[in-house]
Amino acid sequence: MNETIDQIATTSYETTDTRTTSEEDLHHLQKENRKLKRLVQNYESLLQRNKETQITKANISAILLLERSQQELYMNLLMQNCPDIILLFDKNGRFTYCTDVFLRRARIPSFGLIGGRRLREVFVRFADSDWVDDVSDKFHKAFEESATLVLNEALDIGRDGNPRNYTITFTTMRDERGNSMGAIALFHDMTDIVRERERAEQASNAKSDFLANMSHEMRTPMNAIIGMTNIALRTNSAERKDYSLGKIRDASNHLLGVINDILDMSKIEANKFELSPSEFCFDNMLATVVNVIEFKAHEKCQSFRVEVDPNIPKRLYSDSQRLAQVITNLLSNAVKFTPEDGSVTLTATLASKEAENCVIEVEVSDTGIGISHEQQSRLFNSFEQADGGISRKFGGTGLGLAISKRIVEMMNGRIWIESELGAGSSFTFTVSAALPDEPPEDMALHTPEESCHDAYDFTGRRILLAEDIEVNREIVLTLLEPTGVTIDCATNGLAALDTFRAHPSDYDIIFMDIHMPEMDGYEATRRIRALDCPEASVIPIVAMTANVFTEDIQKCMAAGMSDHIGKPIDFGEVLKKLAKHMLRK
Amino acid sequence: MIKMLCAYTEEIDEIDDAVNEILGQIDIASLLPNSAGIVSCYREFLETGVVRALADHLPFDIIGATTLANGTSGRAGNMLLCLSVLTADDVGLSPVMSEPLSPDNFKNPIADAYNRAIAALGEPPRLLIPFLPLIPNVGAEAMLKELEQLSGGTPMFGMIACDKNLGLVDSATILNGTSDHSSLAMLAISGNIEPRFFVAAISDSKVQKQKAIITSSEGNMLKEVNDMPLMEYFRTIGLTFGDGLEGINAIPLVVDYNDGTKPLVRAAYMVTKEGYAPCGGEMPNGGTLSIGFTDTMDILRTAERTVNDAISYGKNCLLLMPCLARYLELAADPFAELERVKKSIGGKPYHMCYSGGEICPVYGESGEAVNRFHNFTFIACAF
Repeated sequence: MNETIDQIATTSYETTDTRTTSEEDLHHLQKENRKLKRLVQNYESLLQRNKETQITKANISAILLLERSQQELYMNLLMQNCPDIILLFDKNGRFTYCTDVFLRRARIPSFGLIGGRRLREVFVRFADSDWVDDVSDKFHKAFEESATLVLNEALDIGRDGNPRNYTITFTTMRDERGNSMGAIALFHDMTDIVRERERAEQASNAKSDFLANMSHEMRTPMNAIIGMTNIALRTNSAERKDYSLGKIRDASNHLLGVINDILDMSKIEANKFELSPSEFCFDNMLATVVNVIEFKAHEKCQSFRVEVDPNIPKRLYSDSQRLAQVITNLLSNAVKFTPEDGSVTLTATLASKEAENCVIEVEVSDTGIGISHEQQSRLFNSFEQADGGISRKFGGTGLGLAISKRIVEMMNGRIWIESELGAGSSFTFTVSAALPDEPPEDMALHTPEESCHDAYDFTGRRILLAEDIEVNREIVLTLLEPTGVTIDCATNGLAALDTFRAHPSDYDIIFMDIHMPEMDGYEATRRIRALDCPEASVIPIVAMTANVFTEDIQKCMAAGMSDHIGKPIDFGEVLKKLAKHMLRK
Repeated sequence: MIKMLCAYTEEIDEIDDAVNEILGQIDIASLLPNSAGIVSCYREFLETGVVRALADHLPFDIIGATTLANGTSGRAGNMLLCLSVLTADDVGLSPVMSEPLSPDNFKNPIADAYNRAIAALGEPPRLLIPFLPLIPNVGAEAMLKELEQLSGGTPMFGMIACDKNLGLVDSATILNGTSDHSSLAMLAISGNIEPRFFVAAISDSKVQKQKAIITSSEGNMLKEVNDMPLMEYFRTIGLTFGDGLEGINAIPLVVDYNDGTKPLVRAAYMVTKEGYAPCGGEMPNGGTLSIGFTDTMDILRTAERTVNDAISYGKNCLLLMPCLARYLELAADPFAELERVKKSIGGKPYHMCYSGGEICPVYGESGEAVNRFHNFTFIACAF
């Protein structure tokens, strides 16, 4: 620009000095004029460009300013809201920033109290000095080596007696040129994950222990069955044979109990555990349970008392079998865990009654070994007994209480315990049961438990038994022989269908196995029901099957069956079914 | 082989002196069978007849455009005529100029000019060097698309003609003694040539970290960003303009096509009454938008880096066409970039001229050259 001004001055001076009028001078003047004009235009353009550049610079400054303030805003939001503890240190290891969650956990009122301080000064607030020294050294070493350090530590930052597990990641912060600008320490709270892992490990261990226990519980009676069978086979002594058979029976029943517990627990775990409510007599149900327990208590010279509230309705609508299962479980435990000469008491009271339902409260108390508070908290968990050693000393699957709890809760009740170690226990539960309408007269006369004396004489009656397994046929034939009933056998569904079709009026009831060759029980039942004879639609067909889940029973009913007996067969159950179906007829 | 011979003159008024000065710098005897001259000049060189006289006296065609400032062979300034002669024995050179283009009629004239260039070459081109006029309402990208279609994607390296006025009202393209404000001039090159392209606009550190998405656009017309009208978006990032929306064309808009190619820089030329902004090139829907910041240091740094990259390619000919916005940003030291380039290049032949919009390919993920239009950018071609 100085050159420009000089040129203008020089040109003006020269023009003034010459003042010639020749064409050459004119041409020269015109040329100089053009040069001058160009220079002026150049200068004008420069000024215009500068003006616009200033506008642009102002705009850019505005953008940069806003961007910086937004970055600062988001940085603050990050620090305030980040759920993880983040600590930022400068090159000298002094605090520069931290997330608010650290201040809250460590109960530091403001960052000003720790800003600029070294890690040691701050961490000694909540950790012992040895640990602080150790971590500081590790951080320092990582910083020097530009390495990333990962630690897993349990820290009680809040000093409230609740240490939490943290994964601490420490790493150097570098700028875009690679210069070290400080370090960042990220504390990620892993407590929930650690606890979940511990819970899962505990559950896994409990299941492993359970499996080992179940294996023992199943092998023990099997050992008795096999052993006693061999003894019975080898001996000629009738007395010894009877003794062995008795032991086999006891072991079989025990094994069946274990299997039933496992199956019940499987159903509960699979959410397939269901109640099958029906009308029943509460007193009769209780009497059945008490009879069994009375015998066991008598064997241990224990006093066993039963108190039943007379206000409890005689007839209830609920699942009597499951209710009996709960009471049996509690009484069995009471007898098992009470020493000889101790006492067991069963108390049933009417807790409340409304128009259509009532609440029954049942308490089983004993003078047994008692349960500590710590053990009580685990008592109703599946796969756990109060003490792992219990199963070794007293036996048992450890599932009974968990199953009982589930049954009670499904009956809209609850179960609880009061006990002191060494001072006995009291298990109490409540259940809700519906109140049935007044029973019809014939039902009142002919319910199996009230007509039991007539049920076991089936002389003149005829049963068609469809069962492919020979030993199962033999069991039924042998067990029912004393009743006088005649039994015709079919070895598969097709044979059963043909036999019935040939003589439909001969039979009073059909016992139908499900899984048979040639034609299974479902198909045989459907085909029988489809026969064109009046007996086909009314003859009772009772399924005899090891499939005991609700959907299996529903499948049987859907095929046209009238009832269901589970295997292994309970002889009493068979008699009840026979009485129910044949006596009605 | 192809080589470049360079010459310049500052003599605008004395035609004979100007011609003699140019002829004195070019060894006509060393010219190879095929030659063409690339010329960039201050507007007045056309008005005084220097360009016509050169065309008459030189034994080859000259093709180019007016410019704001330029440099060659160790000289730089804003009132120069620079001439770089491409001369070769195994490369075909075919300069053409189209009929004047208009918003209603630009495709046919472009096609006609292209076909004439190819007919003269007798073979497909390996490189096109277009000098485009600024046509109101027709963005450079539309003209480039035509050439792209006609040539089947031949790499294009060129510029929009400019002059000392920011509205480019006195700009012109040149072919020999003819210059026109509205015509396309183009040099088509075929044969033994392997051009390599270099692009640098704004350093990554000078691009705003905050990104936005172009949510409505039509070709080069930017309408909405982040589902907001454009002006509203600008307000949210702290940009406000005066009544005349002055300065909007000086804000570099960095656009990422999100297709693996490098982000480009565009200028918004103005704001329409609907609040839309016609930009220097396509603003792709779904593309990422951010604001760039230029300053003297970044301009010089990017220029030097690009020139060094181009030199390291090791070829004989070097064309450099930076955006005039960079010249404006240099403010009171407008020749700083020219001087920095001159210093970096040393004695190698080169031709540098400021452009009103840059045409240069960028490289895709698999290395293919994709033709693009740029603003605020320093482009270089070495061949």
